[in-house]
Amino acid sequence: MNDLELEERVRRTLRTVGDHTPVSGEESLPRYSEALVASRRRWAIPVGAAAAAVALVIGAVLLVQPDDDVRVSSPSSSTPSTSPPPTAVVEVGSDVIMGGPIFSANGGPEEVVDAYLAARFPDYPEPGVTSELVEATDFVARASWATGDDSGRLAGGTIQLRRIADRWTVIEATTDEVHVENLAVTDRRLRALLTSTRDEQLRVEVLDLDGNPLPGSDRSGAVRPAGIDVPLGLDPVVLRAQLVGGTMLSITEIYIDPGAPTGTVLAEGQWQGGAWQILAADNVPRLDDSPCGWVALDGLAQSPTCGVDGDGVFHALGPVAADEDHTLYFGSVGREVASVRITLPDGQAFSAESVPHPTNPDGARFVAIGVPRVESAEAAFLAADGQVLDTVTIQPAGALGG
Amino acid sequence: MLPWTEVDAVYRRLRPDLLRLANLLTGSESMAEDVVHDAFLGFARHATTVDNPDGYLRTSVVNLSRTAHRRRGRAERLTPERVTTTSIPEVDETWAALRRLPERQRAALVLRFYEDLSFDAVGELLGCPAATARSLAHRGLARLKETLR
Repeated sequence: MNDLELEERVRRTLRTVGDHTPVSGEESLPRYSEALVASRRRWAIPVGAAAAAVALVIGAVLLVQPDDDVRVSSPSSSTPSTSPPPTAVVEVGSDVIMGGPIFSANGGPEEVVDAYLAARFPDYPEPGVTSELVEATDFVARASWATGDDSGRLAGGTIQLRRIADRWTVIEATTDEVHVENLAVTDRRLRALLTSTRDEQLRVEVLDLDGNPLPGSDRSGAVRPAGIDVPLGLDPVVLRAQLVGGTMLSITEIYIDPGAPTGTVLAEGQWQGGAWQILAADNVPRLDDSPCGWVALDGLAQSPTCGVDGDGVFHALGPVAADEDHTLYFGSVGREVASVRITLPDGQAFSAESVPHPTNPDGARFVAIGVPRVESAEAAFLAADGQVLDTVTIQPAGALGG
Repeated sequence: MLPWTEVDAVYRRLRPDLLRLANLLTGSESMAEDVVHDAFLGFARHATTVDNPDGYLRTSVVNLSRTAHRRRGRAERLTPERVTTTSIPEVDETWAALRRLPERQRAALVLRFYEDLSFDAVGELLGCPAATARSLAHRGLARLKETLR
């Protein structure tokens, strides 16, 4: 094959593949897109895979008071450190806003639940496995599942889903008769106690995201209550418990993020929901060349964000933690954005300056801001001269990526 | 912001071609859908200042495709890739080889041989000089030749 023949083969291949690309469906922009335009953010990179991170200082400014009474912690006044994130015991478990993915498939929440049950129960839909959506919004959904026969319900539980990166995703599954207690990550160890009200044995595993059990984590045939105490790496894991040795179907799966790697603390403080830190890390496996920002809350890493090229279409700003009264937002913004201002419906405004990453000063910048929790608020992205470059509507449980 | 109905009209008109381009650039039908969707979200937010929606969206798709693998969420890691197949052995074999090329080499070939762009235009879209774009395409072809031998 000479060069001209190869070029022609490439041309023919590309055109044929282009012609075979499915383009049907979604004849209109999905309705949720209109809301996403207002609240879109990206937490897209699986940075839980991080190995030891090289500390970098980028500095940060966080204002947690209204504009007329600001408290500023500027890069010059804050003392960067290379201490690891705090290691306090943190209760972990799925959060309908922040929970990580256990299983995903194409389609809406009902299709994903169906695919999930088929993946976990080999004989599905036998023996009499049913599911039903009991709650669904544009962003989160919850389904109940049950198995039984004419004599009644034998077992059941719930499946929690949320939309991650525009894809419906299972973030937690439970069985009513299997109980997970004292689940916590302490000093990079996962500890939990599993009990059951059933007679069957429990099988407990801690799996990586490819489904492989962590060494020493398989507690097959565990005597109940089954205690779990396994060291964690930097990758997220899934705690899975099943009843075995009987006929009852069960599935309990919980996604657990072990926390941020060691990194330079850019800024730290307290908010209503606890202590927070912003960390910077780089040279992290699977991150390519993207300088990365993390937010760590009481030692448990929350959804990280990574600076991309700084020429992205979107500013990424979204909630990383919330309690009943407050929401902490974190994100990356374009290089032209000097600060972000969040204005609540009652007119209160909260501002935070963005900061660049030292290894990519022309790239994305990072920003964090905590505000009282409201149904929706307006975020304005401001240039250095105060010009409003863009505005979006943000929601506490808005569209969250994966 | 442009009225949603107008954004939707642009979406209906351009989505098929952009999906094809994104599929060729990313090598994944599912990623292509995300890329095109994201491109339109960005367009919707900036539509009032966009003079040339076709060019803006094509550029967005190229840019977003370049970072699509990097931006892949954990959700996609758990979802089987959907890869286009044609049932034409020579095409499927060549497409598999193209998908294995480094991202920028594949992008250069797609923009050159599918979009029929000059190397000046390819370089502009990839953010590199025309000579680099030409080199990327040349190296991509050389690797393909080795693979398909």
